[in-house]
Amino acid sequence: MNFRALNHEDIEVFSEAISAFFLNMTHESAVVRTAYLLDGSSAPLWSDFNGVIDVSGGFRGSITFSAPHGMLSQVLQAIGEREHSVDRCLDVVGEIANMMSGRARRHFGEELAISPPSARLRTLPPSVPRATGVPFAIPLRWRAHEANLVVHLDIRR
Amino acid sequence: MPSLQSFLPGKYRVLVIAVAAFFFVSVGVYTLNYVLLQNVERDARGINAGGKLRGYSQQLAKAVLTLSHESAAGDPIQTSQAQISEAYLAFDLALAEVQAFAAESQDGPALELANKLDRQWQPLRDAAIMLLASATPEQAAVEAAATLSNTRNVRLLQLADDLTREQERLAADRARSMRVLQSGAITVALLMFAFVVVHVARRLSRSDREAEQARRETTDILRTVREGLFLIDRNGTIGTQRSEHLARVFPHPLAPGDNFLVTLAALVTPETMDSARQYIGLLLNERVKPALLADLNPLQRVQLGQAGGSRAKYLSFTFQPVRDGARSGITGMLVAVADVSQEVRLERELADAEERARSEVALLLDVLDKDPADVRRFLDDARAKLDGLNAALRDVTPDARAYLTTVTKVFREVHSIKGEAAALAIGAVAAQAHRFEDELGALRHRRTLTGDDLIPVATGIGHLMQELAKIDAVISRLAAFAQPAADARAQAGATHPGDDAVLQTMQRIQRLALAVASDLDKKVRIETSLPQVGAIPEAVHRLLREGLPQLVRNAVVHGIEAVAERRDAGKQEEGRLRIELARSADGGLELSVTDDGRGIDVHALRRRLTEDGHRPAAEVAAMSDRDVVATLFAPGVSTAASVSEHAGRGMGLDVVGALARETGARLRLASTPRAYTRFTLQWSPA
Repeated sequence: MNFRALNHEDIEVFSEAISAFFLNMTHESAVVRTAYLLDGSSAPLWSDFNGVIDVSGGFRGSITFSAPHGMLSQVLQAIGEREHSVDRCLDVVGEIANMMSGRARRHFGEELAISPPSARLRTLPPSVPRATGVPFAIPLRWRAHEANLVVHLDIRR
Repeated sequence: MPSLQSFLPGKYRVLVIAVAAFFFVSVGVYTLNYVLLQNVERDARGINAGGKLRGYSQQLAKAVLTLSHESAAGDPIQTSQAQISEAYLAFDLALAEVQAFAAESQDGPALELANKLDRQWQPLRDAAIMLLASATPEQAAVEAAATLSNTRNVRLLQLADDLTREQERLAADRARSMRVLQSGAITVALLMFAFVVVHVARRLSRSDREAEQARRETTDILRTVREGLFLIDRNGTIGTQRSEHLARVFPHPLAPGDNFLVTLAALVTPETMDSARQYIGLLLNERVKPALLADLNPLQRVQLGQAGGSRAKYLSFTFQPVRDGARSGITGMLVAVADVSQEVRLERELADAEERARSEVALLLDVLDKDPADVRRFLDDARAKLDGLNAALRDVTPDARAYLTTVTKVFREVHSIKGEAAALAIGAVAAQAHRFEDELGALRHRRTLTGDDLIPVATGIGHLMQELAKIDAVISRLAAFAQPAADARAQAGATHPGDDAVLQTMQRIQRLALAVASDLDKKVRIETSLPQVGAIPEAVHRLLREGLPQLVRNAVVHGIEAVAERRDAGKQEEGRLRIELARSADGGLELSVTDDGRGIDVHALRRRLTEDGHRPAAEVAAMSDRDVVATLFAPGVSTAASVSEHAGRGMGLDVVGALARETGARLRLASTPRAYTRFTLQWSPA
């Protein structure tokens, strides 16, 4: 099966989904700080809380949103939640993964098969990557915190 | 004349016949009623006439008796005579009626009774006439008449009673027959009515069942068919029925009553839409055979414009004219839509695979033609540059100025990679770098940059890395083949003759210059001067590899004129490009690139600086010629009218300037308009 390299539009779908989440929920934008390739020497970006969607169909790979506990606590505070428990933080990254999933479906069309978005703790190791292409990291800043979007995706031509 | 069968549609024929029969039966019943009522009336009259006979007989008997008494008493008899006259005439008439009724009824007893009445009546009638014959009839005649009247009157009364009873019996028989007939006729009419009702009900029921089955089958077909099907009228208005698959295939909802052509226009290019309108117009033309139009369908495979940059969708539309009947005109069209995206993608995948195979072969041939060490060094250098750029992206400070600096750095390095790739004739990398430059160029002209803008930079680096990886894969495969031979040589103690790296670099540069000149339809002769200069430091090697291609490309693109221009300027058609590498008296190295082209037009350069927005007009006016020329080494400044693979980015001399700084070279530029341009790089002795 032939896979094409990712275009910036393919990545922007996910970064825009995250930005939209922050803007809608907290009325404060999360801004993309930069974008770069995660080469073999880079440590995997796997933070306190991770929202993951695995894709298949004409696609192969995963999209991960990793955020530190401090950021998610402040998000919960911003949306009026008093409880900042682990479960609530997992809910937030799960919701972001869900939003990315919806946007991805609209962007990539019916061929994209998406597994149910999952929220995982740092203590759970990241799954073995299924994509063979180079993953892209997009750090996003919200207030003083930085989260990472990692798009590791092969797209069939 | 058309027969009834052909006139009446099959399913209505029986119904019409049944209704007609019901109508005729109803008319028959009415007629029968009419006739029977006449009989009843006649019977009534007959019975009435029988009753009259009784009355007239009595009246006559009474008058005869009265006349007898009056005659005996000598009283006047005229009144009695008048009564006798009236009574016998009335009896005659009544008897005639009775006889006529009896004759009409053909009833034997009635006829016999009528005849008996007549026979009994005639003597009495004669006697009455005799009594009337004279104003003073004889007493004896009167007595005889009275006697006859007494006797006959009783018999006449009896006969009249018998006749009346007979007539009543006849009337009763007739009334019974009439009731039977009426009942029968009404029963027949009711049966026929019931038949009509049952038949109609069954017909309706069957029609309903057939309609329901047809509807169910149509629904099943429309639900199951793997094509989007719907009808449009001649104006393009969409009908009410459509297959379920249509919603999956067609990206916009098609509501009944919408205009298909209007909806389609929003999804395809205006040119395709114009062609589609013409094609549909031809299909609706009765005089054009649809078979002739099959190949003209512009919507046979059409790409739809999709919002959001999602994957391209290709649909195939076919149109089939629809007619109400075989002989009627075209009333609309059946439109079938199928999603052929997968088919198109597979075709493209196949074409891509073939193209990749071809390009890999081309790449293989390209690489085979080169010094493996050069290619390996290029790959290592390029990869190192891209890794460095990626690190710069990762660590960039999040502000617009730093973003712009990073983008400019990426641009410079990519331009350098492109130059080296072109010098090595590795077209795939050069082309990919050129596409990347397009994106970077657009970014550099933004007023302000944000972190989002670095996403295309990262993907561009990824694409270039992918191209490098392809070459790496080819080299690795070649190395795998060559390894046994190399091992054998090593074992045999053979030594590989060392290549003159500078000489090979110059050969590559010559090929690059000729290729660029050929692309631009220019003629150029390259002269190289490479005296024995001894060992060359790596820094100079690097500039030869990365900077010299930029200088040579710059000379061919901007310096050397086109053939016609040179001819007009009184120069030889063939431009001259001289590359010299020499060791100076103090032991340093000097590289110069000289072309006999149009030189640097400082006025034109000033104009470009202002027009392209690099500097404000006042600032440019205040700059010295030297400063103006120095801007050629700034990123983004170019005198080319448009961007091509070879020029227009304004990055070539920026790369050279940066390399000069990094390698510690002194860079000089000398030029005379319409005569020559020379770039010189000087390295002090180590």
